[in-house]
Amino acid sequence: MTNLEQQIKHAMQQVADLSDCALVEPIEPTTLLLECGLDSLGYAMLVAQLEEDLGFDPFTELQIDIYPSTFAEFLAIYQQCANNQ
Amino acid sequence: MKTSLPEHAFMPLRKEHLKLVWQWRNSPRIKQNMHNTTPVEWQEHCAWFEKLQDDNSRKFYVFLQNQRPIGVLNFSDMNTPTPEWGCYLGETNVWPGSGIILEVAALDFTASHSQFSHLLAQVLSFNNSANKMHKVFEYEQVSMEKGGERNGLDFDILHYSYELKQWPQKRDKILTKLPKNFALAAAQIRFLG
Repeated sequence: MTNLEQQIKHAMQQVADLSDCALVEPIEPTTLLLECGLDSLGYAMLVAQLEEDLGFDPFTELQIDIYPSTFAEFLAIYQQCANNQ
Repeated sequence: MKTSLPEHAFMPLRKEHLKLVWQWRNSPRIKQNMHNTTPVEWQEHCAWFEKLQDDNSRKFYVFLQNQRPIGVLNFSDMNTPTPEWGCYLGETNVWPGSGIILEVAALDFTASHSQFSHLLAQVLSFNNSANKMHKVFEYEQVSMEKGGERNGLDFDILHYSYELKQWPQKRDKILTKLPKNFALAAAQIRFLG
């Protein structure tokens, strides 16, 4: 597991704890973000939390044509943005 | 830093979206939170659409994100002071927090019509996401009734009400509770003819 993947999964757990959600286990590359256990608000909080942790938000910095659906796609967007920093 | 927020618009349902909406409505992810989980036949769906055209008490919008259809927002009882709303995200590859945009849009739309006093909503008790969202937006839960049984478990139907005259005052306060981009994204919600 890469450091970035670890950071994202850690942030997901933090947000789940804060917002009283239960994450599905395990989070696989094909896990749908809308079905990972975070609700719409949790998903938005995750992006905000990651901006605090990583210092960037791909959803405002990148022109994204199709938003991520799965965890693997979500990680790839963050990886792309990290490479651009 | 460049800011790239999606544009959100709501367009009345047209024939060109019928098949997509039908596929969404029959998908397991959407059906599981519906009152009626029976699959909708295509002919039944078309008949429903035809009837919708002559029904002033209902409005059915397709939710567009950067011009791409991703979900629906619907209102019923529009001929009363207390319309009721429902919604879902049909697509899964959507901007983070798109469900929140639906919540804001429903309140913006109904609060902008002076004939409406309250916005009502019904949510099944196991739909934690929708129940939590209504609480964040400060809906009042007004009643609860037995809903039946699903997957071997009993569930209830929670009835919510929002006093629309409060929305203009509460809107900014609620948006500041959310991640910062929501106020910007919510400012650009449009309802198309």
